[in-house]
Amino acid sequence: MLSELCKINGVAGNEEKVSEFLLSHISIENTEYKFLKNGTLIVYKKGKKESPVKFMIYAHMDEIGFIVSDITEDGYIKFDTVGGIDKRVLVSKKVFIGDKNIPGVTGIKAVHLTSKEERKKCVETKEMYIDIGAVSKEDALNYVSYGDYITFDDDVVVNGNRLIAKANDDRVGVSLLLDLVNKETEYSFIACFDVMEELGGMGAVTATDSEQPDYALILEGTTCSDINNTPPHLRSTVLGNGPALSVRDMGTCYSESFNNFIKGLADKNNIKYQIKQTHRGANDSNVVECCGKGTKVSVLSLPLRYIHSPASIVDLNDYNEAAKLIKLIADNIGEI
Amino acid sequence: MELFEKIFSTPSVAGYETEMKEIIKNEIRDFCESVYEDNFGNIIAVCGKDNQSLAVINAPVSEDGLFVTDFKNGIAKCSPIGNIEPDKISGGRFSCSDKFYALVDVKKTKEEKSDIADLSLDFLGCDNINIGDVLSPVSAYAKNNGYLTAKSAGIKAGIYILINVIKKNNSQKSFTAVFSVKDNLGFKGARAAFSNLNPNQGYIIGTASCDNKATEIALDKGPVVRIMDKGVVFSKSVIDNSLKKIGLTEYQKEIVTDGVNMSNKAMYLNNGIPVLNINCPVKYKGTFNETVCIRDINKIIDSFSSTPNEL
Repeated sequence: MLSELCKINGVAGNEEKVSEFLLSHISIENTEYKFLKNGTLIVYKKGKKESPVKFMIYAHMDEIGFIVSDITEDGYIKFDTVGGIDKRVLVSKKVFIGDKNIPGVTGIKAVHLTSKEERKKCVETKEMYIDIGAVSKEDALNYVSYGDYITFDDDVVVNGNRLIAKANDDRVGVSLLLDLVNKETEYSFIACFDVMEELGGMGAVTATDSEQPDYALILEGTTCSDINNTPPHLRSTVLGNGPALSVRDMGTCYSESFNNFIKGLADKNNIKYQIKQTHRGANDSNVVECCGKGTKVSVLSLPLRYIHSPASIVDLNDYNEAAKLIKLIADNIGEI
Repeated sequence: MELFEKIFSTPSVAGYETEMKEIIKNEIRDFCESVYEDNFGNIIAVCGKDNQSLAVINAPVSEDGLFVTDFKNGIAKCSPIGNIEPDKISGGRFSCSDKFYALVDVKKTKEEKSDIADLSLDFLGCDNINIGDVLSPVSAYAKNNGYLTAKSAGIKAGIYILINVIKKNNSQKSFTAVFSVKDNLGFKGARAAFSNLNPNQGYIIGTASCDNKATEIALDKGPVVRIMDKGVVFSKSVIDNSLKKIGLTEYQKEIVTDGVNMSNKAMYLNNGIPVLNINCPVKYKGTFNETVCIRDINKIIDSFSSTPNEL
């Protein structure tokens, strides 16, 4: 399921294919759903009992990507980024453009034409282009339009317990939530598959204002730098050490009581988890926390090496531990 | 222990304000119609029998702190909770429950901007520290010639002011008091409270730094009314009307060029909530020795309490 989800192109603002996939895979038993006007999919999951607290679980359907901003006279595609992408990872990458998945490759000025000073610097996005093999602007316009969305190559590789894909952020969350919706749970809850997290969380804002939950659990992918002699306190998370709970990040100071509730369930059931070691990054929690009547928020995030790149890596053991923990949370939320 | 000392020596790091909230609730319970905690964790106190005026007085509760990101051989690495500046806390003390340690200086050159992650925190042999533990700043509470010095003295002064406004009001005038949490993380608590209560008028008790020479704000010269900051120019009519309601005639004026506060957010909420930002002057802001003047504090309390006007 995760592999299939990662192959779908759903750059922020263009998540319809992801929601179509979800609708075709959500069990109709004990569920009702609705779409908000911005495309956010809200699924009401009926459990064996009604929870005394209103509980909503979020995963964002969108991924980072690009958008066609211009086409040069000689047929090269100029682009802007959608969401935060490290420009250092952009050169010479395979991409797909638009609904027809036109293949292309990101290019820059050839190395033999660059000065010594230029080679020391990271190339700016505005200096890059995408080459689709067109010979002129007119030729390129036969395949590509202004405003077309662009995604990284959708190839998914499974290597032992590690899955490598462009859209692990946040298809890991989407896959976990879809899996939970299709299971029988003790308590009813609301699943929110939201849009545009990578652009600031517009989908989560409207969903929270609409539903006004008491407790919110955000399922996410998060930074992981457990490599190359990174000092332990700067690693953020470690691949294989389980899903991560956060004390705070750049946007949110997470609920102490909700975090303790989750830790208690994990400890009691021998589920592996870790505490995120840095405060960098933010997610839907940032807006969910203070929307509606105010929400007690925790985030459960899977470590993703090389997040926001064409090839982020998730550990499937972390995924499985997260799946067990989320099920326990949904089964026990009524006793919080 | 007098209330000043109790408030000033109680930790209230953002997200971990339980102890402080208990003190507040116990202090105000007998002086208002109802006290409750909203879903965000803010304390809401409904004051006066006829609460039709829908005026809200807000004071933030949360102070800055740290959380542990790594711990080895008695030395911890940390990340900030709030807006801590590393240069201002170097050499200070933080506590994790009852475990103390001293900060070691950051390693940096003159050209480098220091980072919290560069700090090493020595727990002096204590080994019972875990990743994720929250640390609150510790400093001696000192009272001298009408001045109070402590860590987070500005925030704590606001708490003291609002508690005493409620006590002095003693259910006469109608307003809702909001002790908001996590405001050092984007004014979230106040935003949630203002959004839910949807008041006709807001008063925010904040802090004004005396350390900025351009503003010429000083201790012992009375409350500070914010005229403008980076996010908003306060409407003259809103300021004049609000000041008239609380009967405040002598105050310092503040124009801030490098920051915003909750007032900016409130004006975008619902239909736009008019807000008066009335601040307590603070010297050495952000350090372990923030200093406030008791006379300034009392003037703000009196301004809310002495007027017969509804707020």
